[in-house]
Amino acid sequence: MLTIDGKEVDFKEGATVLDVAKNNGIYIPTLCTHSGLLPFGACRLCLVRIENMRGFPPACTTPAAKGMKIITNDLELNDLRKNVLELILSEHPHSCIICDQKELCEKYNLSPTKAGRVTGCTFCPNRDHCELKKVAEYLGIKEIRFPFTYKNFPLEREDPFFDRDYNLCILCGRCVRVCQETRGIGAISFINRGHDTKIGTAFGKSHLDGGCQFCGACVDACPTGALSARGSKWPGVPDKVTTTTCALCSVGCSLKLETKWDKIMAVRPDAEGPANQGQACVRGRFSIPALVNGANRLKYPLIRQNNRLVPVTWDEAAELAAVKLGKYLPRETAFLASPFLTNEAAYLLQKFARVCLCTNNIDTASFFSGPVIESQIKCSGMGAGAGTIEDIAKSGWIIIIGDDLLASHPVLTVKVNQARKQGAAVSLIGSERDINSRLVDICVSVEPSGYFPLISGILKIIVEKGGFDKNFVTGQCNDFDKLKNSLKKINIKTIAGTCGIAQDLIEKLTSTILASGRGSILYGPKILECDDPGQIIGLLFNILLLAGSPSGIVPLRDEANSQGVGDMGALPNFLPGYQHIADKDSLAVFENSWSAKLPNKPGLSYPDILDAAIKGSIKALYVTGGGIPREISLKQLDFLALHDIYPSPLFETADIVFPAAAFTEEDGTITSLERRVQPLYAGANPAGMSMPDWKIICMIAEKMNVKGFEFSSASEVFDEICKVNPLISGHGIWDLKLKGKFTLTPVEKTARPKRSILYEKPLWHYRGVDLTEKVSDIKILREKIFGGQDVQGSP
Amino acid sequence: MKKKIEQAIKPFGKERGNLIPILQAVQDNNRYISEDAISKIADKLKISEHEIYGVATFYTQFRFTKPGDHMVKVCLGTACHVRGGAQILDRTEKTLNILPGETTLDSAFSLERVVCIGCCALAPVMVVDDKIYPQVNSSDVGKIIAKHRSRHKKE
Ligand code: SF4
Ligand code: SF4
Ligand code: SF4
Ligand code: SF4
Ligand code: FES
Repeated sequence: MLTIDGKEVDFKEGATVLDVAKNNGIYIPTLCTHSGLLPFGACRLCLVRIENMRGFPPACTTPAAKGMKIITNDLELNDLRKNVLELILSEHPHSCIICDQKELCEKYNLSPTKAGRVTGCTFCPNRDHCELKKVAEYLGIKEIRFPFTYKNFPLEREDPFFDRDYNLCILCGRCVRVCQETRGIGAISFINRGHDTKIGTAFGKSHLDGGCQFCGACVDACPTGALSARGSKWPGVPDKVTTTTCALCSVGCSLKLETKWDKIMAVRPDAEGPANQGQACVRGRFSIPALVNGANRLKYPLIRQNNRLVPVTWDEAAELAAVKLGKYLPRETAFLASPFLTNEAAYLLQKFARVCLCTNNIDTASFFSGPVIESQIKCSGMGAGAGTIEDIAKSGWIIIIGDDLLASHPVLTVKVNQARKQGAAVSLIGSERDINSRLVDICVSVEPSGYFPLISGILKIIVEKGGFDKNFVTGQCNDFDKLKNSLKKINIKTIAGTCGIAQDLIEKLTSTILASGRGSILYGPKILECDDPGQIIGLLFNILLLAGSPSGIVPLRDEANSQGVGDMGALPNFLPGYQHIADKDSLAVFENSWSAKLPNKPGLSYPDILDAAIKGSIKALYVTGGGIPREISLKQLDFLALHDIYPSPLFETADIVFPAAAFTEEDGTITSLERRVQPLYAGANPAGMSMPDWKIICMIAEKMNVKGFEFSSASEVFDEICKVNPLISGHGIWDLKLKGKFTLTPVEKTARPKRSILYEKPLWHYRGVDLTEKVSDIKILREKIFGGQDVQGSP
Repeated sequence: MKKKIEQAIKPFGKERGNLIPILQAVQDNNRYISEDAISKIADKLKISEHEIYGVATFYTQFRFTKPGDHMVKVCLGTACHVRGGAQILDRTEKTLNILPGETTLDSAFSLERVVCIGCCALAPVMVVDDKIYPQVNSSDVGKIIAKHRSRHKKE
């Protein structure tokens, strides 16, 4: 109990005076405090009066204590705060703050003026979000009683994505702290001391040279206009703000789309986002407007006539597709579901393939999908990882294997960093380039060919040292003896030799697991380069089981909805909800609810579909955005239909092109790597006459006179999904129902299986569109960070 | 030079608290804190180079550019100040064509402004390397620099 403004209130251990005030609805002005950051006590605006304490302690850094008597506001405090703020403003352009025409000016000056330098709020890109301005208004600042100094720093506009004008900086340190504390990067710092202090980089390097990831966290944390997103700072107040889910990777960050004149102008991360809590990355934060607003977005359906693609009406295009597709045998037809499709579109696409064309030749267009799902089903019974993003943050140890996490899933590094600050040891298995080495404790640098021996070695040490969770293993795991026996032949010394690493490094890595119980393993697409990726996943799962918990394994699939597209049954051997196609009962259920006879033999997988299309045994191919590697020629095909948002190299062979809506232009759901089903909401209308994918499919089905595709909205489709797919019942993380017994995977040297080659793909893409081609600043960044090289994997 | 930096860093542990002692050791060994040194320290302590630079610039004792072969110091302590230290500094800046903290293009001289070197009776003072020049007046500055420059050339 303590007293705040005369009210007796309870408080939680560890709360600050500011927290107590906030929890009781009392406003104290602050500038250097920011959610998620440790208290800093730099701005001195939050001064309060506490009985028996000398002076005026800052509320943000003073811990609440029993019996405290706090006064948060009186005339003297208000004067004091005004004084503090006037001092701050004496070094900040404040002409607009004290201007008596302010209200009219704001009303009629609809967007900030594109002046070279900001001399007041009217000229400031931040004027609609400014905390400094709000605090000044709250305190009723009418004049500044100190002489004004303009610091006259040069404007910093050389870096991609955001501009910096440190003349507006109030040195609150929020940018520095978010970059260091939250992101773990530390690309900026306080430089110099006293009057010369400014925010900057070592030796005045550019951000690009200094290792900045351009995640935008600093821009979002800044209470002033010192940091501003270049591409989106001038349109002024948006017409509407739509909260949706980012579809550029599988983390599933919540984003707020700002729309003006029916165009997405700016994007900010959503502080309430369950996966990201206000964080984002360079793709979600800065590249969406350029990605979706390109001048050459496809606007009309196109069909091939006289060897040219010509625009036609939707009716004509759908009619033609229906007629053409109807001509082929089921085994001559195949569908590729882009892992960026919404759940609704993926569900309808596989339903269309199975019901209208009687084929199971449908797969997710990602090489990482098939082997991952297969071994996941073996391990946990379902085609999904068994870890959540919050699990990562709470882990006692973390292993990242086969992925450049900082580039592929930047917001996950925030969680890894969080765990690390609470003492988790983080190990990286992969190449040292894979991650900022400061974000990990142990880095085991091996090629993918070394993953198998290395993981076997780790298992051997765990089993032999006996440091595993015996209760869990005897109670809930099968085949422990098989595993133990298979480890007998293994010799750590030989392994260290094969992998070219020090033996004690393997031991050190293993000891982090033995020491700290529950952990997380994040594995990425580089494991595809191993001889037997499926077994690698099984062995990684072993590590978790031995540590005593089946949850904590997270597949780092790149594409936003690779999870959901699989859940929806866009797979050659599974119906929605991972119900096997050969299972008579499941098939009967679907035949019943879809009122159709369904094919019961597994179809071709993605690599096989590509092979068959090259050879010509597949005659009609339906592609929904990307998935065809550049090196492949589809000249053998009789018929090729595409859903795309931009022209692509496939236009040379395509017979029909349907213009699709981008994810910012449609409603629906996508499912993140933690199995979280999240909504998409349209922030703008589809470009030109383009349409959401699910609608396109319905239109063709209708032309084929097949029933079961009469939907008027994405949410109607989702309702049907909830009815037929036992995994999905609404938004949120679907339940893996992890229980019963788990099977440990024995270590067996397997021969390299026959496998299609892996194709180059752009690291950052959306439906086959390479972000570097659409967003010029992304190109600059990619070339800088990665020297322009791409990772291997599916397109 | 790389060796010198590594030697200086080596004896210390990986704890963050070692940052200042490491910086001091590097400066003692190498006369200044180079970009290279900061990135080595960053790797060792797992702190970003920017954070280290930030900490280092907080203390006036650290130098970030390679010092010239001769260090010219002009005192602006109280005693020197009242006896015209500022004019001496001004003249030195012009003679060398650099500001305090900078080094001449030929790397011969660096200039530093110091606050009292403990011989106030001799004010205003100027120090070149270890040699103290007492009661300097503006017209002496050119001669002093020239003397050291010719000596520098001979070396
Ligand atoms: S930072 Fe805020 S207070 Fe300063 S000029 Fe911009 S809008 Fe006005
Ligand atoms: S963009 Fe991100 S990495 Fe770069 S300085 Fe800001 S917070 Fe740090
Ligand atoms: S740039 Fe912004 S966030 Fe960073 S210290 Fe200055 S005002 Fe604060
Ligand atoms: S981390 Fe992934 S989901 Fe989040 S903003 Fe970046 S691309 Fe989008
Ligand atoms: S909010 Fe307390 S000092 Fe800034």
